[in-house]
Amino acid sequence: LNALMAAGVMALPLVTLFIAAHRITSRGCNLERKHQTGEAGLILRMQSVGDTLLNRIHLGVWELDLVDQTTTRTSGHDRIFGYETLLPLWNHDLFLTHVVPEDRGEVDRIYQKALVEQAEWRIECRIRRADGVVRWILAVGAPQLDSHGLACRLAGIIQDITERKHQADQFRQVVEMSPFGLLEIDAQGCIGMVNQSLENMFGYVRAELIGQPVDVLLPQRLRAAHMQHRGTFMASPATRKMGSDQVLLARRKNGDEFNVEIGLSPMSTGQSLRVLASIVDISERVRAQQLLSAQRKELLRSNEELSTFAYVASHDLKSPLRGIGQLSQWIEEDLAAGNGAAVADHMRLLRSRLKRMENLLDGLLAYSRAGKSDDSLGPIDVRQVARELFNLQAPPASMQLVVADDLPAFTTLRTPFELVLRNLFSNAIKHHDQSPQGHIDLSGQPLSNGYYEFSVRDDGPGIPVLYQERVFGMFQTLRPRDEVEGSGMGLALVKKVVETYGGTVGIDSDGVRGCCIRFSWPLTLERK
Amino acid sequence: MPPSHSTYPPTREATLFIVDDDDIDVMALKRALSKLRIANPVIRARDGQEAMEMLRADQVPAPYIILLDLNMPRMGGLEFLQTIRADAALTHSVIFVLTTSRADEDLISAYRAHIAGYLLKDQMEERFLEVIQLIENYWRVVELPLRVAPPSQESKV
Repeated sequence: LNALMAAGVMALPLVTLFIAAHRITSRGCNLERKHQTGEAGLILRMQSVGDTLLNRIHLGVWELDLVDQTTTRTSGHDRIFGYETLLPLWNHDLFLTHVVPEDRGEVDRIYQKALVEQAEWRIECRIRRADGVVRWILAVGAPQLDSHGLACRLAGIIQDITERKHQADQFRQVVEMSPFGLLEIDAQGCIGMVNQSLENMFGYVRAELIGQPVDVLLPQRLRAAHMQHRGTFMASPATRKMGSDQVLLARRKNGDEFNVEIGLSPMSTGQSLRVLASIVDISERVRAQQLLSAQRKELLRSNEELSTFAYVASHDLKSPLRGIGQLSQWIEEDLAAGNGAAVADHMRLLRSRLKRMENLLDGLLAYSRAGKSDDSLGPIDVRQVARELFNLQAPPASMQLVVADDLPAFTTLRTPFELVLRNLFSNAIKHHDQSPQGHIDLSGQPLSNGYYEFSVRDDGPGIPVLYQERVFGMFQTLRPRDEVEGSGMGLALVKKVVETYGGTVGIDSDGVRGCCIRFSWPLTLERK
Repeated sequence: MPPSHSTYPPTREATLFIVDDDDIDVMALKRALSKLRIANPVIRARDGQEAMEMLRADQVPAPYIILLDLNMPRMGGLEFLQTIRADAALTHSVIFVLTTSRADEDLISAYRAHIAGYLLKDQMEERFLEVIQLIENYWRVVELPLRVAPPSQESKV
């Protein structure tokens, strides 16, 4: 019977059956029940159980004779309006007085329209019962036509649907108030229902989404793949998380993309398959995770740096210090022995160790500061800056710098960028084995990831592949400091600075002739 | 007289092979040697790489004792130890590490490569003389290996 009610006016032939039964009894056709056979008997027997059954599902049946304006009703009909026994009189006006004023106008309009058009009607409205309680009812009805095609009777069913209405309301509230974006699609991927959270999340109002393919909520480039996944899911639907472990991307109305997590629940409601998707915006979480992993990486790096610091402090800084101690002792001995010539030599060495110590400390300081001062965002013309930096190194007059024509002018952090170029130039000049002759090239090319790759190429002795990794370490030199004075911090500094801004450093050299050091630098940088 | 079974030539002074990039450390070593009137030949390499090249080119007369610094350009002491121990012709070399590093990991890594001793450089004059004295006593007392031919390929099969 519920199914019949759901089908609404389709149940009308049955209504007619009940009406007929009622008409038989109410008009005093005194037929003995037990003697009745055939249709009339079935009608009577049905009437005996019918009322009870109808009452059980809060169903009332009525008929209005348009000729004499009399109505026939089941007892359940009047009970729905709060009357324990049948009222002596019932008609449309009386019905309207029970409808709450807010719904009355619309109910009457639908009814009158159906009368004029001789069409079926279906109304859901609120009534105030005799006991004053407001209830929801469903009223369906249809005119019955005589042999001339004119309406002679109206028949209808009303049902108290308050419980169902509350349940539906509750369901709707649960759906609407859900903090998850909820979305229902059919087997073809058309959106059937969305809730408030989903509207807010994607920036659409629901009218823009209902009936649309669900793909509008995806970035364009992912739509084809999604269509396939959807097909696979529809073929064997099961409640599960979409995309298992990968981070899913969704697209807002304004084109912004964001990370989501999606749960899928197939709902088969007897008709076609529908799928309820619940969507959570996890972009904050993803951002937090990214931040956390970046911080973790930075922490690991700085811990690594710290332990390297401790190590190099015990080696590289101690070494000139020990030399100084040694030399001072020798000078003492030289003085005692009256060896003036040796004193001068040893003093010179001692001062060179002091100078070395200072260099190492400067290098260490520069290294620990690298990537921290970024208050110098400004426009630079790389070609011009390169020439200035090169000249500042006071290179031998015959050492040449060739700067490529296509190098960019851009806005960046001037200090760290210059530090990188300066160190690379200084290395190329200092370690050139044919000095004062020598060529240094600065060239570059844009990369696809928003970075620009600069290359400093020299025709010096190069760096054998074996040492190419190690030269980026702190205090690493390839020749004894007694031969080429240097802190061994230059490339370590370059690497640290470049990596601070997300770039990479690399070496191309066969270790026989020439060396090219490449580093990538972001074309756009924002002040932190 | 039965023929001698000894393959050793008459005892030779051990060569001191210093592998150190710091000129002053080398000067200090030489001063200490002359103070102790030790006249053994002294040969120097400036880093592990150069030391390996000299050893492989047979430029260091056996018997020799290597005095190895750890912190050097190109090839440091620990890397040198790995390389020489993996070299069949040189693996038997007697090596003292002479360094400034007090780091445990350096000390342990060095002994893993079977060094004869780990000596700290940063002691001043008197202690340093003791260190050199120790090395001198060592080579006077122990028998040092002469250059030996690496095991032939055939004998390995």
